[in-house]
Amino acid sequence: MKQLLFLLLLAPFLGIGQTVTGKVTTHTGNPIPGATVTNRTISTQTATTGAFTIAASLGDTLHITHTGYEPAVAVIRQIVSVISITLTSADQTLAAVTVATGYQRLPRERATGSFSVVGEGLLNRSVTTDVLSRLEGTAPGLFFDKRLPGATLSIRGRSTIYAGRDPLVIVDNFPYEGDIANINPADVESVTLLKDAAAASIWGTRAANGVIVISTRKGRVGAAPSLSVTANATVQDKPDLFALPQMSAASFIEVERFLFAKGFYNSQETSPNRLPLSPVVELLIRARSGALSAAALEAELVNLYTVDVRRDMDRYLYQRAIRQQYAATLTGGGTAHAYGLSLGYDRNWDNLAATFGRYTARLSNSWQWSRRGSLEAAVVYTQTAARTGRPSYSNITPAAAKDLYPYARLADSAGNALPVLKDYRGSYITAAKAAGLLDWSYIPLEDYKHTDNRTASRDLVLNLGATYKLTSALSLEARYQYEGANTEAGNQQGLGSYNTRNTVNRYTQSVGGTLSYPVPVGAILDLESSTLSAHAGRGQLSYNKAWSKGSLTAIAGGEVRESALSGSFNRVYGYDGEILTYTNVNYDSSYRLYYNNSLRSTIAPSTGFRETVNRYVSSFANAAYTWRGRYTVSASLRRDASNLFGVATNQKGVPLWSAGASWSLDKESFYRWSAVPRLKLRATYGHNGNVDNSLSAYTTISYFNSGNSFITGAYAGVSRPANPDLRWERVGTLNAGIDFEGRILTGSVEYYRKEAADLIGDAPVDPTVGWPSGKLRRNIGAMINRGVDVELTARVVNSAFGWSVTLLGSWNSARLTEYDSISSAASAYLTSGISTVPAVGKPLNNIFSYPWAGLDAAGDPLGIVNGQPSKDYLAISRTPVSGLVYHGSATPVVFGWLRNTFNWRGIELSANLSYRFGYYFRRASVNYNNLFNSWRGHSDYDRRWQSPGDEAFTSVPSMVYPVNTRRESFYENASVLVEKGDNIRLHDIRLGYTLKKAKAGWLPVRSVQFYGFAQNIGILWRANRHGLDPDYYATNLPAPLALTLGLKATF
Amino acid sequence: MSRIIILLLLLTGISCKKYLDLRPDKKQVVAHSLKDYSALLDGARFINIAYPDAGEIASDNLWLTAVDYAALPDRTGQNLYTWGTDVFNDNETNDWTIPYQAVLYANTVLEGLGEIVPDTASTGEWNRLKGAALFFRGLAYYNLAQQFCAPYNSATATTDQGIVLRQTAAISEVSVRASVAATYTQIEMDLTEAAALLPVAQLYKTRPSKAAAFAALTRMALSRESYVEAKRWCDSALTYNNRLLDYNTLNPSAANPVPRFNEEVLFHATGGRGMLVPPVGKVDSLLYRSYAANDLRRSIFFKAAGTGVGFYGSYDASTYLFMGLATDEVYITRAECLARGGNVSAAMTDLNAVLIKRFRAGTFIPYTAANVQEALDKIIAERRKELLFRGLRWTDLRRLNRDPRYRVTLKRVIGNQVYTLEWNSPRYIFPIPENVIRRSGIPQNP
Repeated sequence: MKQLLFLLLLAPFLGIGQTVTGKVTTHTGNPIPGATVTNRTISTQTATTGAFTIAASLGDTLHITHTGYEPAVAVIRQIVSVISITLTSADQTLAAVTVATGYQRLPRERATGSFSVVGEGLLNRSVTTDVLSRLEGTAPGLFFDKRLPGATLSIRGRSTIYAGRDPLVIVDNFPYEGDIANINPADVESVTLLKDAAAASIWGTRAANGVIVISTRKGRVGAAPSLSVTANATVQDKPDLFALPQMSAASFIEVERFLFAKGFYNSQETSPNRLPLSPVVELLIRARSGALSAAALEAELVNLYTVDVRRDMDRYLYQRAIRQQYAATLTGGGTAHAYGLSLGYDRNWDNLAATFGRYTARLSNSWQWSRRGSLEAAVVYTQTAARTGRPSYSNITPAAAKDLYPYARLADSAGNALPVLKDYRGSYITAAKAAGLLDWSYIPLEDYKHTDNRTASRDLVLNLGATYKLTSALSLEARYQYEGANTEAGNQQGLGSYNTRNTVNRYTQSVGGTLSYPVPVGAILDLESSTLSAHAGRGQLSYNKAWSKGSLTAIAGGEVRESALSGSFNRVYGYDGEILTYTNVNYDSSYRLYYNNSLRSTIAPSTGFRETVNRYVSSFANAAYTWRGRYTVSASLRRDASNLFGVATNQKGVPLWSAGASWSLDKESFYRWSAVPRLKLRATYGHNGNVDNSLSAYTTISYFNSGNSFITGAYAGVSRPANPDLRWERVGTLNAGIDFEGRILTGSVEYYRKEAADLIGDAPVDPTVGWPSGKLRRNIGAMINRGVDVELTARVVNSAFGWSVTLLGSWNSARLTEYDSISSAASAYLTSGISTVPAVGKPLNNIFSYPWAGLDAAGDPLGIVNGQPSKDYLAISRTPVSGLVYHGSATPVVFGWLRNTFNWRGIELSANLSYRFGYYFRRASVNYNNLFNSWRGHSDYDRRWQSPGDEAFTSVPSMVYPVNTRRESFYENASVLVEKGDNIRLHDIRLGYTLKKAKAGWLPVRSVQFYGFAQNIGILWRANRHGLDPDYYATNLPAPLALTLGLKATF
Repeated sequence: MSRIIILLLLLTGISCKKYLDLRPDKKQVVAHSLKDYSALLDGARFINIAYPDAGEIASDNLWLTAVDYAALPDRTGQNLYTWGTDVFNDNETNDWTIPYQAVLYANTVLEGLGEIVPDTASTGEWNRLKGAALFFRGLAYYNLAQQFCAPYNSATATTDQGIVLRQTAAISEVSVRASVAATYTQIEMDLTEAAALLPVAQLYKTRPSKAAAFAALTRMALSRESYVEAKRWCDSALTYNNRLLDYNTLNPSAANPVPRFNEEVLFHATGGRGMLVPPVGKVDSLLYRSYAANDLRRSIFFKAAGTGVGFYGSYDASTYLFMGLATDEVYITRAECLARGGNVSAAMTDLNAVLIKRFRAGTFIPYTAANVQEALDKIIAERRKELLFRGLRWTDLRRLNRDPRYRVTLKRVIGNQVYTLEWNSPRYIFPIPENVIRRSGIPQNP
């Protein structure tokens, strides 16, 4: 010991490096093994006890980093004892450093509201092109609805019926007005979710759906330069087309023969519109006329029996998707200056060969130019380019709202592209071609090659901020942000594309066999551009003062925001891209259409302009007082005025407010529960708002360019009758929570209750008022949305080998309490559950059904009328709502995630399980009306009732002709087709290996991480017995498995 | 100092109000000018189309094969054809809601005009717009009355259930059914005032003119069996336009030989299509056979359609039915009024004025009548033949059924099923859509 002391004392004079020892622990005193401690060029890693030894001199700065923790810095002031360093977890635990509201950063300890912070570690656990999808499975209360393409995310359920449902997204300090997909996830340092009123009220009338605050990566004053480079590539499978419940070709042909015998197609055969008849019907017509022998007909049909168009689609349209991501980030800082620079490049090819590319560049700087003043500036530039690819399975459809027949073939056995039925009969196409018209056939595998549809966007954000300390406690802050974005889209449909040929042909005029072309024979070019220009300015006073026993943090300020969107679109005909010419067309004259001379149409001009401006003027204040570090009270106030509201609402200017309190029990002298060293209780209440941008307080009319054949010149229609009382929706939120951190178990439990009033809904009106739809948007509803969010992390094993389990759990139950029902008729409540169906006492997305009494001996489905089984489908359709079966919510009531993470010597393995319970969905089945008229079959057809006795083991009704639409609609909405949605799925697995220079001296970089990530692995358990994935609706196929390999290196 | 602060606050307050007055969407205009109201009334896409066609489906000019009937996708169409009661309940837009949409447009314009004091330069335009708004409202009320009210019966008109007369654009106003008498009084008031205000000539045929308002009044008076009054309105209408189209100038081989916006058209409006369109909708074969061989209408109106004959003579020159007003209708209405008034020769002159333009040139032998009864028989037969598929047959059936000489029982046969419609059946009054009854509380038709 003496020697050591001697050495330490002597060392500065000797000028030789000494060694310091220290210990890295968590706040609770748990050692952190494997942390990297760096001094200048040398680094080491902590042992299982958290201890380290490193050469250092007085005044040196040690940098301590570890995945999953915020980096820490320790300056060597004296080299005497063991330095103890605590690392703060980067994950959202009680100890997470600060929460960002977009107006201020608060120490989490002093926050009374409900915040979830998703740190860098968790954000980079998954791999996606955009930021928001990375939040999936990271925080409780966050729900991703993927039933329709393009997932929508919601925080703590939905508190609005029709107004915007998306949370407000803030990037650094201001709402992001552009496309959030512009943000490169590599630039994001953390995301804070503001979930309750105290957290979000500061955002006023737009905060009711919760707020997502994205904080970007910036340099820190005094931080060593750090360069990190990431690269990854993802390969995603083709979607499983065979999961579509398509009817077999043989069955489909059977139905067509059945209908043909009934004369169903007779009137269509002489259709003046030359409506297409399916290839099989054409064969049957030929056989009937004797042009085809009975034997030849059968032979032709047998050939079609085994065709399945999905095979062709899978083979010729789909491919594996590939996504690549590259990013480099440099951050660092001097004594009074910090900088961050990042560059990113993404390139995607989707399953249909559509491409997407994105370049991002971000530069941020901050200067402390005096002891009182500092400046910040950031510039962000994003450029994207996208191009459409091949048509998808749902894009290839014969016209007139028909589905493709299952025996369609996209290519012959040699791979040559084949035509598929489109708008007109085959015989008519041949005749038209003979008359000199352009070939009217539609060849899906050729068509897309003649369409060049591209979208390019540029987005620039300029962010300036200045802070000036007026006194030690009071500072003045001014911020300004400009965002300018421009999107240009061009769609050139060459003469090879069906759409162009069809347009030319439709308008072709034939006078005695001589053809003239009102629409020129050439490409059609559509151009569209839109420009976003948003300004936001804010002035804010901040007060921070600590006294011996208490401390006060307060802000107050005002804000003005404007977001202007303007756009235009234009179409030219006869475009020649080689010499950039086009041909004028006459939009005023009305032309007889070639395929049906009784129809007349003008050439629709496709030119238009739009311009919208949203303006907000807001003032806000927010204060929190903490006494003795134990008791905190907080309050906030905000007032918004906007050009969206009517004068009356603006004048009333009801302020939105919140109040909250928290109590850190662990700091009380009586607190002695050593197993749980930290414990905090908190509660808040307040009001947020929500705005429906599409509404206006006044009677509005919309102008249209002359597009009808009656008049030349503009005309107008009433778009909305006056609503002088329009106002924003108000949501009052109560939140109560408990946060704890123990040696093993850490977490929080929160209860919330959101009471929404003045909800904008479709008020039923008597259509006689002149509004045929019979509904008008008004502030008419109220609802209650309650829930519990739980987050628990258990460090089960915490040594050289680590095992931790994180459980995210949410219970959300919403109930509409007030709504003037649109309809008491049952039919209005029988939906897919995707659109909101307001029903008092029920959640917004709900599943109702007709009671089901099985099939009768004739194969007819039976409902219940007056308590008795009945097939009076008219009476069934008039079932009052009280006579329907209510199943429950169409969105999960209980949902969450379970993530297991294992560490061992730099290897980290984690798997995320998702569970969703307590909800229902409506399964599709055969609907004979759709089958006959829209060619939409369903594999249930093969299970239909066919002969007496079948009713004992099938619930699929018999096929009858003529179709009774009420019977079809009854079966479609009967309880027999409602299934429980509950499921558990393995969402993803990640395997990473981190190698650090401290351990592997040969490494040319400070650290490097390799990882593999598998996403959408599959359902482990589901409640329904039909193999259906309830989280994807109808023809929206489940996301296929995606595998990623990636690399991250830090220099 | 404090003064400056107050001043600054006031300034920001004022500029803030102005800053927030900006329209959020430039295309969403708060209607306030004559230009806006003119544009609304030019919204032909909303107020000149989809005029009620239920009566055409339920009338005796049309028939469907059992196969086509079975293949009809729409419940309302099937039930209208067989005089069932479940009609207008499968679509938001129907024969009740569409006319009331025109009423809303008219009321919006009328209320807006009430807030504009025209100067000398704009008085003409102001009058035109007010006249047009009243015309659209009056015609909509008239069309509704033909579908949803009992045929006019002067003995019971003050107690018979009329339509809802919506005289303001306010959504909050509660709907109440007026009596049939009050309904017709309102139609007459709207149309007479419109006739006084409207100009003689209009830029587009979808805009009403003076003659159109008078022609609409003749319909109103005729359906009320006020033949003297109807004749007077016919005289007024024909003062402004008495032209007739010579069918000898038309090309029968064209898909739709009668040109659109032709010189007979006083006001252009169209009605439904759907099941009325050939080859599904077929023309009654007896009716078709009643056209003489040298009657050009035989080839101009009709073409073979499937197993029957289809109607191709729409004045819209398309498969949409013409449901506007034209001079031929005014001539024929006047002929009937004259005959009923005992003036047989003048009546036959009016009838022949139309028919000479319909027969092959040089082959027409003018019709004669020995007495009132003979004249009336011929005129009523010719009325059906000239004005078929114009939305008039239903009103004529309802009116003529009140006269034992002309009453008919309609019959439909679908497979083995036979449906009949007696002359005095309550099914001559269509039921009002169920959702309207539910939300407004107005009484349903019997």
